[in-house]
Amino acid sequence: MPPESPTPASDSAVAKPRILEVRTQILKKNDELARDLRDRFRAAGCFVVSLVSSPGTGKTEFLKQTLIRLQERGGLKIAALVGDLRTDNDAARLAESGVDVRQIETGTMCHLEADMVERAIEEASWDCDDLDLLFVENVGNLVCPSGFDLGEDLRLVLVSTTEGEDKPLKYPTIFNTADVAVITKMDLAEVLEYDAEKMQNSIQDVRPGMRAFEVSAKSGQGMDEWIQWLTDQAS
Amino acid sequence: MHELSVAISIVQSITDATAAEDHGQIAAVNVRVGAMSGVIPEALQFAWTPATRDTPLQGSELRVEFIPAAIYCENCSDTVELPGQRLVCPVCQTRSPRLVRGRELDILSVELQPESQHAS
Repeated sequence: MPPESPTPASDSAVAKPRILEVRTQILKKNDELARDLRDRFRAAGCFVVSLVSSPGTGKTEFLKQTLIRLQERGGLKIAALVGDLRTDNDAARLAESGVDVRQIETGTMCHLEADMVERAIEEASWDCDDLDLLFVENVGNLVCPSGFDLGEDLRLVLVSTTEGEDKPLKYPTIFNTADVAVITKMDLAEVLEYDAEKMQNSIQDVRPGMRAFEVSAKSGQGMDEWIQWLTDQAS
Repeated sequence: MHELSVAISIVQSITDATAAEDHGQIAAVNVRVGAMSGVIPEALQFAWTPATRDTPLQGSELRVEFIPAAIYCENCSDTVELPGQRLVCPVCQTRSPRLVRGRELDILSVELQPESQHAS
Protein backbone atom coordinates (compact mmCIF):
# COMPACT_ATOMS: atom_id res chain seq x y z
CA MET A 1 0.00 0.00 0.00
CA PRO A 2 1.59 3.35 -0.99
CA PRO A 3 1.29 6.08 1.61
CA GLU A 4 -1.71 8.27 0.95
CA SER A 5 -0.81 11.71 -0.29
CA PRO A 6 -3.02 14.61 0.61
CA THR A 7 -5.58 15.25 -2.08
CA PRO A 8 -4.61 18.27 -4.13
CA ALA A 9 -7.44 20.70 -4.77
CA SER A 10 -7.35 20.47 -8.52
CA ASP A 11 -9.18 18.97 -11.49
CA SER A 12 -7.34 15.70 -11.03
CA ALA A 13 -9.14 15.10 -7.74
CA VAL A 14 -11.27 12.00 -7.72
CA ALA A 15 -14.80 13.33 -8.08
CA LYS A 16 -17.68 11.92 -6.11
CA PRO A 17 -19.73 9.32 -7.95
CA ARG A 18 -22.87 10.75 -9.51
CA ILE A 19 -26.07 8.91 -8.69
CA LEU A 20 -28.91 8.76 -11.15
CA GLU A 21 -32.28 7.68 -9.74
CA VAL A 22 -33.95 5.05 -11.94
CA ARG A 23 -36.89 3.90 -9.85
CA THR A 24 -38.70 1.14 -11.66
CA GLN A 25 -39.77 -2.46 -11.20
CA ILE A 26 -37.37 -4.96 -12.74
CA LEU A 27 -40.10 -7.02 -14.43
CA LYS A 28 -42.12 -3.95 -15.42
CA LYS A 29 -42.37 -4.96 -19.10
CA ASN A 30 -43.70 -8.42 -18.27
CA ASP A 31 -46.01 -7.03 -15.58
CA GLU A 32 -47.47 -4.41 -17.93
CA LEU A 33 -48.04 -6.95 -20.70
CA ALA A 34 -49.62 -9.37 -18.21
CA ARG A 35 -51.94 -6.59 -17.03
CA ASP A 36 -52.94 -5.84 -20.62
CA LEU A 37 -53.60 -9.53 -21.23
CA ARG A 38 -55.67 -9.78 -18.04
CA ASP A 39 -57.74 -6.76 -19.07
CA ARG A 40 -58.26 -8.27 -22.52
CA PHE A 41 -59.33 -11.66 -21.11
CA ARG A 42 -61.70 -10.06 -18.61
CA ALA A 43 -63.29 -7.83 -21.21
CA ALA A 44 -63.81 -10.93 -23.37
CA GLY A 45 -65.26 -12.93 -20.45
CA CYS A 46 -62.48 -15.52 -20.60
CA PHE A 47 -61.27 -16.97 -17.26
CA VAL A 48 -57.58 -17.93 -17.27
CA VAL A 49 -55.97 -20.60 -15.09
CA SER A 50 -52.23 -21.27 -15.05
CA LEU A 51 -50.70 -24.47 -13.70
CA VAL A 52 -47.27 -24.79 -12.08
CA SER A 53 -45.53 -27.80 -10.56
CA SER A 54 -42.33 -29.83 -10.58
CA PRO A 55 -41.73 -32.07 -13.59
CA GLY A 56 -43.52 -35.37 -12.96
CA THR A 57 -46.20 -34.17 -10.55
CA GLY A 58 -48.93 -35.20 -12.97
CA LYS A 59 -49.90 -31.75 -14.25
CA THR A 60 -50.74 -32.90 -17.75
CA GLU A 61 -52.82 -35.92 -16.70
CA PHE A 62 -54.66 -33.82 -14.11
CA LEU A 63 -55.34 -31.13 -16.72
CA LYS A 64 -56.44 -33.74 -19.27
CA GLN A 65 -58.95 -35.24 -16.81
CA THR A 66 -60.13 -31.73 -15.93
CA LEU A 67 -60.66 -30.93 -19.61
CA ILE A 68 -62.52 -34.22 -20.23
CA ARG A 69 -64.87 -33.54 -17.31
CA LEU A 70 -65.48 -29.96 -18.35
CA GLN A 71 -66.20 -31.10 -21.92
CA GLU A 72 -68.69 -33.69 -20.61
CA ARG A 73 -70.48 -31.01 -18.59
CA GLY A 74 -70.64 -28.86 -21.71
CA GLY A 75 -71.54 -25.20 -21.97
CA LEU A 76 -67.97 -23.88 -21.85
CA LYS A 77 -65.66 -23.12 -24.77
CA ILE A 78 -62.20 -24.15 -23.59
CA ALA A 79 -58.65 -23.89 -24.93
CA ALA A 80 -55.26 -24.77 -23.49
CA LEU A 81 -51.64 -23.75 -23.93
CA VAL A 82 -48.86 -26.01 -22.73
CA GLY A 83 -45.23 -25.04 -22.25
CA ASP A 84 -42.35 -27.49 -22.46
CA LEU A 85 -38.69 -27.13 -23.31
CA ARG A 86 -39.03 -29.67 -26.13
CA THR A 87 -41.62 -31.86 -27.90
CA ASP A 88 -45.34 -31.37 -28.35
CA ASN A 89 -46.15 -34.65 -26.57
CA ASP A 90 -48.18 -32.94 -23.86
CA ALA A 91 -50.23 -30.94 -26.36
CA ALA A 92 -51.07 -34.20 -28.17
CA ARG A 93 -52.10 -35.82 -24.85
CA LEU A 94 -54.31 -32.89 -23.89
CA ALA A 95 -55.88 -32.71 -27.36
CA GLU A 96 -57.38 -36.18 -26.72
CA SER A 97 -59.92 -34.35 -24.55
CA GLY A 98 -61.32 -32.63 -27.65
CA VAL A 99 -60.16 -29.19 -26.49
CA ASP A 100 -58.16 -26.92 -28.81
CA VAL A 101 -54.56 -27.15 -27.54
CA ARG A 102 -51.36 -25.41 -28.60
CA GLN A 103 -47.81 -26.22 -27.55
CA ILE A 104 -45.32 -23.52 -26.62
CA GLU A 105 -41.84 -24.95 -27.12
CA THR A 106 -39.65 -22.80 -24.92
CA GLY A 107 -36.28 -24.22 -26.03
CA THR A 108 -33.90 -23.14 -23.28
CA MET A 109 -36.42 -21.05 -21.34
CA CYS A 110 -37.22 -22.53 -17.95
CA HIS A 111 -40.52 -20.67 -17.54
CA LEU A 112 -43.24 -18.94 -19.55
CA GLU A 113 -43.48 -15.17 -19.81
CA ALA A 114 -46.47 -13.02 -20.73
CA ASP A 115 -45.23 -12.30 -24.28
CA MET A 116 -45.03 -16.05 -25.02
CA VAL A 117 -48.67 -16.46 -23.98
CA GLU A 118 -49.68 -13.47 -26.11
CA ARG A 119 -47.77 -14.80 -29.13
CA ALA A 120 -49.21 -18.32 -28.77
CA ILE A 121 -52.78 -16.94 -28.70
CA GLU A 122 -52.07 -14.86 -31.82
CA GLU A 123 -50.52 -17.83 -33.65
CA ALA A 124 -53.52 -19.99 -32.74
CA SER A 125 -55.81 -17.26 -34.12
CA TRP A 126 -58.02 -17.64 -31.06
CA ASP A 127 -60.66 -15.01 -30.48
CA CYS A 128 -60.82 -14.52 -26.71
CA ASP A 129 -64.45 -13.42 -27.10
CA ASP A 130 -65.25 -17.00 -28.14
CA LEU A 131 -63.46 -18.55 -25.15
CA ASP A 132 -64.84 -19.03 -21.64
CA LEU A 133 -61.86 -20.77 -20.11
CA LEU A 134 -58.16 -20.86 -20.98
CA PHE A 135 -55.61 -23.09 -19.27
CA VAL A 136 -51.91 -22.30 -19.43
CA GLU A 137 -49.69 -25.17 -18.32
CA ASN A 138 -46.25 -23.85 -17.42
CA VAL A 139 -42.93 -25.62 -17.86
CA GLY A 140 -42.36 -28.17 -15.07
CA ASN A 141 -40.42 -26.06 -12.61
CA LEU A 142 -41.18 -24.92 -9.05
CA VAL A 143 -38.65 -22.09 -8.99
CA CYS A 144 -38.45 -19.98 -12.12
CA PRO A 145 -42.14 -19.36 -12.99
CA SER A 146 -42.92 -17.72 -9.63
CA GLY A 147 -42.10 -14.10 -10.50
CA PHE A 148 -43.64 -14.01 -13.98
CA ASP A 149 -47.26 -12.89 -14.19
CA LEU A 150 -48.98 -14.43 -17.23
CA GLY A 151 -52.21 -12.46 -16.96
CA GLU A 152 -53.98 -15.39 -15.30
CA ASP A 153 -56.95 -15.06 -12.94
CA LEU A 154 -55.90 -18.08 -10.95
CA ARG A 155 -52.51 -19.68 -10.41
CA LEU A 156 -52.78 -23.33 -9.50
CA VAL A 157 -49.80 -25.06 -7.90
CA LEU A 158 -49.68 -28.87 -7.92
CA VAL A 159 -47.71 -31.20 -5.69
CA SER A 160 -47.95 -34.99 -5.65
CA THR A 161 -48.08 -37.44 -2.75
CA THR A 162 -44.81 -38.91 -4.09
CA GLU A 163 -42.83 -35.70 -3.57
CA GLY A 164 -42.83 -35.52 0.21
CA GLU A 165 -45.06 -33.54 2.56
CA ASP A 166 -42.39 -30.85 3.08
CA LYS A 167 -42.20 -29.92 -0.60
CA PRO A 168 -44.08 -26.61 -0.07
CA LEU A 169 -41.52 -25.64 2.59
CA LYS A 170 -38.70 -26.28 0.13
CA TYR A 171 -40.29 -24.14 -2.60
CA PRO A 172 -42.14 -21.48 -0.56
CA THR A 173 -42.17 -18.70 -3.13
CA ILE A 174 -44.15 -20.53 -5.80
CA PHE A 175 -46.69 -21.70 -3.22
CA ASN A 176 -46.91 -18.19 -1.82
CA THR A 177 -47.72 -16.72 -5.24
CA ALA A 178 -50.39 -19.37 -6.00
CA ASP A 179 -54.15 -19.01 -5.42
CA VAL A 180 -55.07 -22.66 -5.01
CA ALA A 181 -53.21 -25.95 -4.52
CA VAL A 182 -53.95 -29.43 -5.83
CA ILE A 183 -52.36 -32.51 -4.30
CA THR A 184 -52.16 -35.19 -7.00
CA LYS A 185 -51.67 -38.99 -7.04
CA MET A 186 -53.89 -39.57 -3.98
CA ASP A 187 -54.38 -43.17 -5.22
CA LEU A 188 -50.80 -43.80 -4.04
CA ALA A 189 -51.32 -42.25 -0.60
CA GLU A 190 -51.68 -45.51 1.30
CA VAL A 191 -48.66 -47.31 -0.15
CA LEU A 192 -46.54 -44.18 0.40
CA GLU A 193 -47.80 -43.77 3.98
CA TYR A 194 -48.64 -40.24 2.93
CA ASP A 195 -49.38 -37.84 5.81
CA ALA A 196 -52.23 -35.58 4.61
CA GLU A 197 -52.18 -33.34 7.67
CA LYS A 198 -48.45 -32.73 7.34
CA MET A 199 -48.86 -31.69 3.69
CA GLN A 200 -51.72 -29.33 4.56
CA ASN A 201 -49.63 -27.81 7.37
CA SER A 202 -46.69 -27.26 5.01
CA ILE A 203 -48.98 -25.48 2.55
CA GLN A 204 -50.56 -23.34 5.29
CA ASP A 205 -47.11 -22.32 6.59
CA VAL A 206 -46.10 -20.78 3.25
CA ARG A 207 -49.53 -19.64 2.02
CA PRO A 208 -51.90 -19.28 4.98
CA GLY A 209 -55.54 -19.69 4.03
CA MET A 210 -54.97 -21.32 0.63
CA ARG A 211 -57.44 -24.05 -0.38
CA ALA A 212 -55.77 -27.38 -1.21
CA PHE A 213 -57.69 -30.11 -3.05
CA GLU A 214 -56.71 -33.78 -2.82
CA VAL A 215 -57.23 -35.57 -6.12
CA SER A 216 -56.33 -38.60 -8.17
CA ALA A 217 -56.58 -38.09 -11.93
CA LYS A 218 -56.31 -41.87 -12.26
CA SER A 219 -59.13 -42.96 -9.92
CA GLY A 220 -61.17 -39.76 -10.18
CA GLN A 221 -61.00 -39.15 -6.42
CA GLY A 222 -61.71 -35.51 -5.57
CA MET A 223 -62.12 -34.48 -9.22
CA ASP A 224 -65.84 -33.63 -8.97
CA GLU A 225 -65.25 -31.34 -6.01
CA TRP A 226 -62.38 -29.63 -7.84
CA ILE A 227 -64.41 -29.19 -11.05
CA GLN A 228 -67.34 -27.73 -9.10
CA TRP A 229 -65.06 -25.25 -7.32
CA LEU A 230 -63.32 -24.27 -10.57
CA THR A 231 -66.57 -23.67 -12.47
CA ASP A 232 -67.85 -21.58 -9.54
CA GLN A 233 -64.70 -19.45 -9.73
CA ALA A 234 -64.94 -19.08 -13.51
CA SER A 235 -68.59 -18.09 -13.61
CA MET B 1 -31.92 -20.07 -14.05
CA HIS B 2 -34.54 -17.41 -14.72
CA GLU B 3 -32.16 -14.89 -13.14
CA LEU B 4 -30.67 -14.40 -16.61
CA SER B 5 -34.10 -13.17 -17.82
CA VAL B 6 -34.25 -10.91 -14.77
CA ALA B 7 -30.74 -9.55 -15.40
CA ILE B 8 -31.59 -8.88 -19.06
CA SER B 9 -34.74 -7.02 -17.91
CA ILE B 10 -32.59 -4.81 -15.67
CA VAL B 11 -30.21 -4.02 -18.55
CA GLN B 12 -33.12 -3.16 -20.86
CA SER B 13 -34.88 -0.98 -18.28
CA ILE B 14 -31.73 1.01 -17.53
CA THR B 15 -30.78 1.33 -21.19
CA ASP B 16 -34.28 2.69 -21.91
CA ALA B 17 -34.21 5.04 -18.93
CA THR B 18 -30.79 6.49 -19.63
CA ALA B 19 -30.85 6.55 -23.44
CA ALA B 20 -32.22 10.10 -23.67
CA GLU B 21 -28.90 11.80 -22.87
CA ASP B 22 -25.25 10.85 -22.60
CA HIS B 23 -24.60 10.34 -18.90
CA GLY B 24 -21.22 8.81 -19.46
CA GLN B 25 -20.11 5.40 -18.29
CA ILE B 26 -22.28 3.52 -15.77
CA ALA B 27 -20.13 2.19 -12.93
CA ALA B 28 -22.73 0.43 -10.80
CA VAL B 29 -26.40 -0.48 -10.63
CA ASN B 30 -28.35 -0.63 -7.37
CA VAL B 31 -31.31 -3.03 -7.14
CA ARG B 32 -33.52 -4.41 -4.38
CA VAL B 33 -34.48 -8.10 -4.18
CA GLY B 34 -37.01 -9.45 -1.70
CA ALA B 35 -36.81 -12.83 0.00
CA MET B 36 -40.15 -13.84 -1.55
CA SER B 37 -39.40 -12.54 -5.06
CA GLY B 38 -38.19 -15.90 -6.35
CA VAL B 39 -34.86 -14.32 -7.34
CA ILE B 40 -31.65 -15.43 -5.67
CA PRO B 41 -29.16 -12.54 -5.33
CA GLU B 42 -26.11 -14.78 -5.95
CA ALA B 43 -27.65 -16.19 -9.14
CA LEU B 44 -28.50 -12.67 -10.31
CA GLN B 45 -24.88 -11.60 -9.73
CA PHE B 46 -23.72 -14.62 -11.70
CA ALA B 47 -26.02 -13.69 -14.61
CA TRP B 48 -24.90 -10.04 -14.64
CA THR B 49 -21.73 -10.52 -16.73
CA PRO B 50 -23.40 -12.37 -19.65
CA ALA B 51 -26.48 -10.11 -19.48
CA THR B 52 -24.40 -6.91 -19.78
CA ARG B 53 -21.98 -8.13 -22.46
CA ASP B 54 -21.95 -5.76 -25.49
CA THR B 55 -24.34 -3.34 -23.77
CA PRO B 56 -23.68 0.12 -22.27
CA LEU B 57 -23.60 -1.63 -18.88
CA GLN B 58 -20.70 -3.91 -19.70
CA GLY B 59 -18.15 -3.83 -16.90
CA SER B 60 -20.56 -2.27 -14.40
CA GLU B 61 -21.09 -3.65 -10.94
CA LEU B 62 -24.45 -4.96 -9.75
CA ARG B 63 -25.24 -4.17 -6.13
CA VAL B 64 -28.12 -6.13 -4.64
CA GLU B 65 -29.90 -5.03 -1.47
CA PHE B 66 -31.65 -8.06 0.03
CA ILE B 67 -35.02 -7.40 1.72
CA PRO B 68 -36.09 -10.03 4.28
CA ALA B 69 -39.77 -10.96 4.25
CA ALA B 70 -42.11 -9.40 6.82
CA ILE B 71 -45.73 -10.10 7.75
CA TYR B 72 -48.34 -8.18 9.69
CA CYS B 73 -49.27 -10.36 12.67
CA GLU B 74 -52.88 -9.82 13.85
CA ASN B 75 -52.10 -11.45 17.17
CA CYS B 76 -49.13 -9.18 17.94
CA SER B 77 -50.73 -6.18 16.14
CA ASP B 78 -47.33 -5.56 14.63
CA THR B 79 -45.22 -6.00 11.53
CA VAL B 80 -42.62 -8.69 12.15
CA GLU B 81 -39.60 -9.63 10.07
CA LEU B 82 -39.31 -13.31 9.14
CA PRO B 83 -36.13 -15.36 9.46
CA GLY B 84 -37.07 -17.36 6.35
CA GLN B 85 -40.03 -17.84 4.02
CA ARG B 86 -42.63 -19.41 6.28
CA LEU B 87 -45.41 -16.90 6.92
CA VAL B 88 -45.47 -17.73 10.61
CA CYS B 89 -44.89 -15.05 13.27
CA PRO B 90 -41.54 -15.77 14.97
CA VAL B 91 -42.86 -14.16 18.16
CA CYS B 92 -46.21 -15.93 18.72
CA GLN B 93 -46.20 -18.68 16.00
CA THR B 94 -49.44 -17.38 14.40
CA ARG B 95 -49.72 -17.76 10.61
CA SER B 96 -50.45 -14.64 8.65
CA PRO B 97 -51.17 -14.28 4.92
CA ARG B 98 -50.44 -10.54 5.09
CA LEU B 99 -47.04 -10.20 3.48
CA VAL B 100 -45.82 -6.64 4.05
CA ARG B 101 -42.33 -6.94 2.52
CA GLY B 102 -40.43 -9.53 0.56
CA ARG B 103 -41.80 -9.42 -3.00
CA GLU B 104 -39.55 -6.52 -4.08
CA LEU B 105 -37.80 -6.65 -7.44
CA ASP B 106 -36.85 -3.03 -8.01
CA ILE B 107 -34.22 -0.96 -9.72
CA LEU B 108 -33.21 1.94 -7.46
CA SER B 109 -30.42 3.88 -9.14
CA VAL B 110 -27.31 3.81 -11.27
CA GLU B 111 -23.95 5.19 -10.30
CA LEU B 112 -22.07 7.00 -13.04
CA GLN B 113 -18.31 7.13 -13.46
CA PRO B 114 -17.00 10.39 -12.00
CA GLU B 115 -16.38 13.06 -14.66
CA SER B 116 -12.60 13.07 -14.05
CA GLN B 117 -12.41 9.38 -15.03
CA HIS B 118 -14.53 9.99 -18.09
CA ALA B 119 -12.53 9.06 -21.16
CA SER B 120 -12.79 12.05 -23.48
